[in-house]
Amino acid sequence: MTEQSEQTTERAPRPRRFLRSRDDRFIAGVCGGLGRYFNADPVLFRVGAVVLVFVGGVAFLAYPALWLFTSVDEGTGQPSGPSPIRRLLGGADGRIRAGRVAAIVAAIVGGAVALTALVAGAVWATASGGGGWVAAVLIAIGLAAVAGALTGRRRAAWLLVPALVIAAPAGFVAAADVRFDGGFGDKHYRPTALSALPAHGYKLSAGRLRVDLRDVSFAPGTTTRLPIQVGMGAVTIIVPPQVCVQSDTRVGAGYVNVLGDEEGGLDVNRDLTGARSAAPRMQLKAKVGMGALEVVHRPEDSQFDDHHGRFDSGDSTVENAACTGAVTG
Amino acid sequence: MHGGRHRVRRSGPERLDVPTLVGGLAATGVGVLLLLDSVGALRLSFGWLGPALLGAVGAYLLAGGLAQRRR
Repeated sequence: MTEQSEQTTERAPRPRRFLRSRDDRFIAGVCGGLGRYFNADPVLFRVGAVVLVFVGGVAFLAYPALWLFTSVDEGTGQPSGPSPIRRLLGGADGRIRAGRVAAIVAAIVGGAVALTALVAGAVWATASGGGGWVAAVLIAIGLAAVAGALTGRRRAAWLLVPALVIAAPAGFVAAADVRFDGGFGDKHYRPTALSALPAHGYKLSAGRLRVDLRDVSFAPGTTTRLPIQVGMGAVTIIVPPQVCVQSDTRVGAGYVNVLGDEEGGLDVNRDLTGARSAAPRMQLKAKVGMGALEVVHRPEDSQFDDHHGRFDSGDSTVENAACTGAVTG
Repeated sequence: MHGGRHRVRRSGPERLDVPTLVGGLAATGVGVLLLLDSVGALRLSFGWLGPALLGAVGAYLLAGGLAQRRR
């Protein structure tokens, strides 16, 4: 009986525990550990992880979670020590200490606040004309990192974190040519005469700009210039159908639709020129950093007006017909 | 004596932190691009910025990978 019991004990499978692989690893040994745990080829898990990065991004959460909460296999199926999260919150013995948890939570919150402040500061300063100062700070950090690297100060590598946090948003704002000039919020204008149009056009830092020109009488053979500058947001310009619209639009990142001539993406530059009729012309010179600009004939053609509650207004007559002489005043 | 002649002085090269050096140079380079844009000497667009930032991050990762391999 005893002998039979011993045999049974020998045959019983060892308690299985998922551990990260120490030897079969590309990043942290998670896929290698999964392969061992499920007795399968780790390549399958690696391919699956890559697929899950692109499909929903689940791997971005799952992989770090598995890394944080599991120990490394010391090679015998036993953990070589506590998991990274236990080591972080407790120490080498893996016992979680309240003081250390509080310190780490405070460090995470403080770090998040600091990074958010850096991003917001970099965006604000660059868009408000202080791009030179942001660049100078970035250069100073970069040179400090170089000096640290040359003198063997390994902690200098941490300087690259604020450098990246400043460089990415400041670069985005500079490339999109976002400018904070002209206030914030929703601005609606409905001038009733050409003389009411501001000489320097309409400016908005961020928000929603709507310029309705239907009450303005444009005389045949005349050309009206309308500059528009918006840092971030959406612009709708409503022009009467008898006006031929010529435009020079620049959008850093976003979408342009001038009476059906549309394009979206990064570095969008649309020029709409050429007119064969004597219809009154409006030369629109628009610059939008991030956002969208549309020129329509009717408010209901707008894709961004709130009362529509949807992006696409469907079929509408938006073509620039006055330029061809198809529509006359 | 023989062993001493072949001993390599490693303290110099080991002190140099190549990934941080590359990262610092890349950050400085991006800073110079932003500075040129702010003074109007260069018109920065996404066509410039994308390759510049990706190249900087790629150079840092490459330097880090090579340094780790050497160790």
